[in-house]
Amino acid sequence: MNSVKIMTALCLLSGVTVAEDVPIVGTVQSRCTIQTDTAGIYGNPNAYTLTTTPADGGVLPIVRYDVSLADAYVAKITYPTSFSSSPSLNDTVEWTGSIDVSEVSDVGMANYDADAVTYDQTKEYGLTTAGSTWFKVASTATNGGNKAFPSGTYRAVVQAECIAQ
Amino acid sequence: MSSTLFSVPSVQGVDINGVIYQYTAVKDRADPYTVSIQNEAANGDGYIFRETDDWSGKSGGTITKFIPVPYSPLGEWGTGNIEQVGIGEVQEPTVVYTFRRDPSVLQPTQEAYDFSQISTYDALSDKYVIAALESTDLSLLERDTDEKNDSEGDDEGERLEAALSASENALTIGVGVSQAELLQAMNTATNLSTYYAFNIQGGVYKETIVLSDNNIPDNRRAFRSMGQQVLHDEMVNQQWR
Repeated sequence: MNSVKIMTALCLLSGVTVAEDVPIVGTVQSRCTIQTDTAGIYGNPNAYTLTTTPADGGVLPIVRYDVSLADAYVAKITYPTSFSSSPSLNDTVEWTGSIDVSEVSDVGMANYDADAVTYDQTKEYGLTTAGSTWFKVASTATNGGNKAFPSGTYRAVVQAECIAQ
Repeated sequence: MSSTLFSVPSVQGVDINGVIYQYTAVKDRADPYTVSIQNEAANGDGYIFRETDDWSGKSGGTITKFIPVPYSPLGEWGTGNIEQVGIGEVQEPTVVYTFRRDPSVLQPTQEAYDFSQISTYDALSDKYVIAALESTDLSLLERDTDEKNDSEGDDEGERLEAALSASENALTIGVGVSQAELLQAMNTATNLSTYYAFNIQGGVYKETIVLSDNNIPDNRRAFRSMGQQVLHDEMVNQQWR
């Protein structure tokens, strides 16, 4: 009787589907990093202008892109068109700016500026060479009607993105 | 081809492990141009380090590079130079060698620097400072007066000597006066700066004075005086009725 039971059990077991989940783990490390190399400072050459131009007492903000994979990313940098924080303004502000390559770590990056695409306040660079690239951003804010800026602290933000192609 | 030479001093116990360089290449995009940062081998067998940047067909710009190299004794590194081939110019070049040092091998004399060779400025030895710090001697004024009185009967040589003495004393007095003026000016500036440097915080400043008595009583004496005035006026007017 017992042997019949065992045989029946074996028959039932052989018909059961056995499944096992095998994990696969992968880690994707960032191959494009962005670092603020130098924080910008607005100079105040006259009452109605704030500018990062060094000749006017400002400091150009510099951002560094480190890319370990060539032809995989696009650097997208936008200079500011508004203050992120400021005293209550008394008029509209006119914004101008520019973005340029400041330094490169490889000669292959020498044509980045010439090959860049510019639209609105944004410049896009194809990061075709692995290595570090430094970009400097100029920004100038002029208060409308040449009115004096109210006293206080003004902050603006440069947006730097690294977008996978 | 042009090159700029820079020498690497030979020091025992120092091993080079990297080269950092930066320069700005000024060129037109179409021009051929290569720049080589290199160091000759000390034994004359070619180069121990050589890194070439080919800017041909590329715009100029500033390049910053770090090139790690296997540890090699500083003594093996010969003269370095920046070699340029083509049409272009290198501006503001900087070459920095990173190294490790072995203190057990490093010669003590190379570590210590002879600071006695540095010329220092001792303000207390400066003749102008000494002259400015010289105190005013009032006895010089009295002596000057005495000498003036005595010199009336003296000969020509003595008059000349007195004149020279007077001019010396005048200079001494002048220094003393200028010192006093300087101190006064400094004090004035110090006193004023406390007012100029004081910052008043922005915002709303509310009235802080509060009147404790909000009910001001009438002056009864004035009422009485006014009543008397009315009676007086009625009395005066009665004579016209």
